[in-house]
Amino acid sequence: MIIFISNVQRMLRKKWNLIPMLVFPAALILLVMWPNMEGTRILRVGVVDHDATPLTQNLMDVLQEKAHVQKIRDTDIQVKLTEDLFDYVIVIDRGFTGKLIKNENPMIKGYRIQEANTSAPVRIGIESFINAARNIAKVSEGDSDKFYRGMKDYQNGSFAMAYQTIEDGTRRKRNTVFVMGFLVLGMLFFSSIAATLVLEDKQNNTFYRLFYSPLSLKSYMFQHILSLLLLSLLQIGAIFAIMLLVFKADFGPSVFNIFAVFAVFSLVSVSFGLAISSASKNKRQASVVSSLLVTPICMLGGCFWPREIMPDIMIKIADFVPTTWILKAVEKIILGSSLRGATMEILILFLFALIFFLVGTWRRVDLEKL
Amino acid sequence: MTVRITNLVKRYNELLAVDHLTLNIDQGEIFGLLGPNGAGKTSVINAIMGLIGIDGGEIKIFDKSLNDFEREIKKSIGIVPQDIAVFEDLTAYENLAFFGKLYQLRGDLLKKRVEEALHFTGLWERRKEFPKKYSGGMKRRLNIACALVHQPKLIIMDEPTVGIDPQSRKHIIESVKTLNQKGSTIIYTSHYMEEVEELCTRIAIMDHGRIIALGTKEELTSLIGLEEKVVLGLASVNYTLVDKIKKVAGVKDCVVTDHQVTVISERDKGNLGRIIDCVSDSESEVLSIHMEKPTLEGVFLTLTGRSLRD
Ligand SMILES: Nc1ncnc2c1ncn2[C@@H]1O[C@H](COP(=O)(O)OP(=O)(O)OP(=O)(O)O)[C@@H](O)[C@H]1O
Ligand SMILES: [Mg+2]
Repeated sequence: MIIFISNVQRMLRKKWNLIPMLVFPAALILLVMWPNMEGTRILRVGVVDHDATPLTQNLMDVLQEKAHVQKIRDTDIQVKLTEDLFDYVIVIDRGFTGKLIKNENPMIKGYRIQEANTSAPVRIGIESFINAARNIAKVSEGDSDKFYRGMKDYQNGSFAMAYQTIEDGTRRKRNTVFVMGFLVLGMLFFSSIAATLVLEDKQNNTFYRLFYSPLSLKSYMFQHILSLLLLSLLQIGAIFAIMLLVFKADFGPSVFNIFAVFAVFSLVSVSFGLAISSASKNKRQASVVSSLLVTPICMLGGCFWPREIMPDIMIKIADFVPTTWILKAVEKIILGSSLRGATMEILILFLFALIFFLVGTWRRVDLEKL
Repeated sequence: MTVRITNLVKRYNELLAVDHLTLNIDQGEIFGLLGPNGAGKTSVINAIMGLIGIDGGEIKIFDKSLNDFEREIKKSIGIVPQDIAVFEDLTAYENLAFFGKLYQLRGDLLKKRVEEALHFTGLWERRKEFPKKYSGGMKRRLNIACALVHQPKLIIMDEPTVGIDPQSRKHIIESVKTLNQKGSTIIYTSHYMEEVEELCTRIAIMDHGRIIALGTKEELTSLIGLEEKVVLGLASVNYTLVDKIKKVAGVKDCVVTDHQVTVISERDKGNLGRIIDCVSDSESEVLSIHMEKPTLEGVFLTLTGRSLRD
C-alpha cells in the first residue's frame, strides 16, 4: 500500500490543495451561516401550567429537548418577558387535557415579546405535539387510558420522525441543505485537482519509473483511487465537523445518513477527477478543464441557488449533472427522509460514478511514452 | 548468464528502433552499451524490463523469462533512468525510502539501506532537502541512489552522467566501480567514450538498432589498427634525431615536417619516454606533444563514417 500512503501524504503536504479541500468551501459556508448563528442560542420557555396532567408534563419534557423550560406563575408573565428572562411563555388552561381527550379543540396561549422568529421551533414543536395528541384522542374515543397508552407509543416510536418532518420552521435545515452545495463544489474541485498527481508524476518521469519495480499498473491505479477516496472522505468529515461544531448546523434526523450520501458522491467526484486527468496532457490543462466544467455543473445542479428558480429548460438539463442528484438526496434526508427514500438519487449517483470511471480509465495508460 | 537477448526486434510504427539484436551479458560484468542518439539503447533497456512490447526475439534475465517471473526478476534489478525521475515533493531521504518500500524493504533494514545509499552517493548531508534545491549533479546522484536502495543484483544505468560537472561524473564513475566490486552486474549506456573506456569490461557499439561491434576495449580498438601516433613540436630538428628515434623499440616510422616530428609506433609499447630522451640528447627541446591513440571514437568513426556525438 506504499502508493496509497505516499500519495495521501503528498497530496496533504501540498498547501495549495487545502484551498479547494477546506478553505474554499468553509469560507462560503461561513458567509452563509454566520448571520444565522444567533438562532443557535438555546431558547428559554416559560410554562404556566394550570392543568398539570401527565399530558402537559409530557409536553414540557418534549420542549425540554429543544429549549430551556421553566414553570412560572400566571402573574409573572409580563415581568419575565419584558425583563427578557424568557423568549416565549405558554399558558395551558385548566381542563386542557380533558377537552383534548374528548375531541374538542382546546388552545394553548403563547406570549412573546417581539415579532422574533426565534420562538418558531418551540411553537412548531407544540403544534406538532398537540396535533399528534389530537389524532390519538380521536382514535381513543374519549378513553383516557387508551389515550395515554397511545401517547406513550407515539413518543417511543415515531415521535422523532413526526417532529422532524413538520412542514414549517425548517429554515435552519434549508440553510444546511443550501450550504451543502458548497461542499459539493469543493469536492469536485478538490478531487479534480488531487487527481492530477498522476500528471505531475508523468511530467517528472517518476510515474514511468515506478513500473521498473515489481509494482503493477493495476495495483497503482487501485491505490491511487483509494487515496483520492480517502482524501475526499476526509474533506467531507472536516467540513461536517466545522458545520456541526462551529455553526451548530442542523443536519436533520441523521448526520450519518447525510455522510453516507456524500460518501457516495465522493465516488462521483473522484472518478470525475480521474476522467479529467486522463483526458488532459498536463496539470495546467487539467485545472483549466476542471474549472470550466465544475462551475457550470454546480450552477445547474443548484449549488449556488435553488434549482427551482431556473427556467424549465435548465431544470431539465440539470437532470444530466450529478450535482442535482446529490443535492436532491441531501435535501430529502435532511428534511426527514430515510436513505431508502433517496434510493433513486443514490442509484443515479452510482451511475454517474461508473460513467466517469469508465471515461477515466478507458484510455490505457501509455507506458510506451517513455 | 545475467542477460540473454536473442534477435530482439522493436518497432515504433514505421521506425525500426531495435533490429535483430543479440546480446549476452555475464554475471559480474560492467557492460557498456555505446551509441549515438537514437541508436536504440533506451529501447533495449525498456524491452528488458518489459515496459514496452517487443516485435520479435527473446529476452531472458537470470535465465528466466520476464513473462513468467516478472516480480521476482524486477525485484533484483535497479534501473537508473536516462531522464531524472525523482519526486520533487519528497526530500532525498523520503525519495529513497519510497523506492525502498516499492521493493518491499521495511523497518530497520529499510532505514539502513536508505542511509547506505545516501552515504554512497554523497548525499547524506543534504538528505532532508527537496531535489528542487539540488544542483544538476546532485539530482543525478539522487536519481542513481533511488535505483540502489534495494541492492539489486543487476544495475542498469541509462546515461547516468548526462549534463553534469566533471567532479560529479568522477564520483559516479567511481561508484559504479565500487558497486561492481561489491558483486553487482552493471549495464552502462552512454555516448561518452571516455567513461565507457574507463569502466567497462566489454562494450557493444550500437547504431540504428544494431550492434556493429562488440568486445573488450582492446579488441575494439584493434579493429582500426595497431598503431599510435605521436606528434612532437620541436625547437629545432636534425636528421640524427630522426635516426635515433627510428631506432627506439616499437617505432615504425618517423617523419619530419617543419618543426614537427610525427612518430608512428606500435600500440602500447610505452616508448614515449625514450623518444623524448632522444630529443634532449640531440640538444633540442620539446615544445608540444600530441598523442593519437586509437579510440572508441575512432572505432565508431571508422565503422559508421559518422562521429558519435553530433
Ligand atoms: N515511444 C516512442 N515512440 C516512437 N519512437 C520512439 C519512441 N521511443 C524511441 N523512439 C525512437 O526509437 C529510436 C531509438 O530510441 P532510443 O531512445 O532507444 O535511443 P537511445 O539510444 O536511447 O538514444 P539517446 O542516446 O538519445 O537516449 C529513436 O529513433 C527514437 O526516436
Ligand atoms: Mg536513451
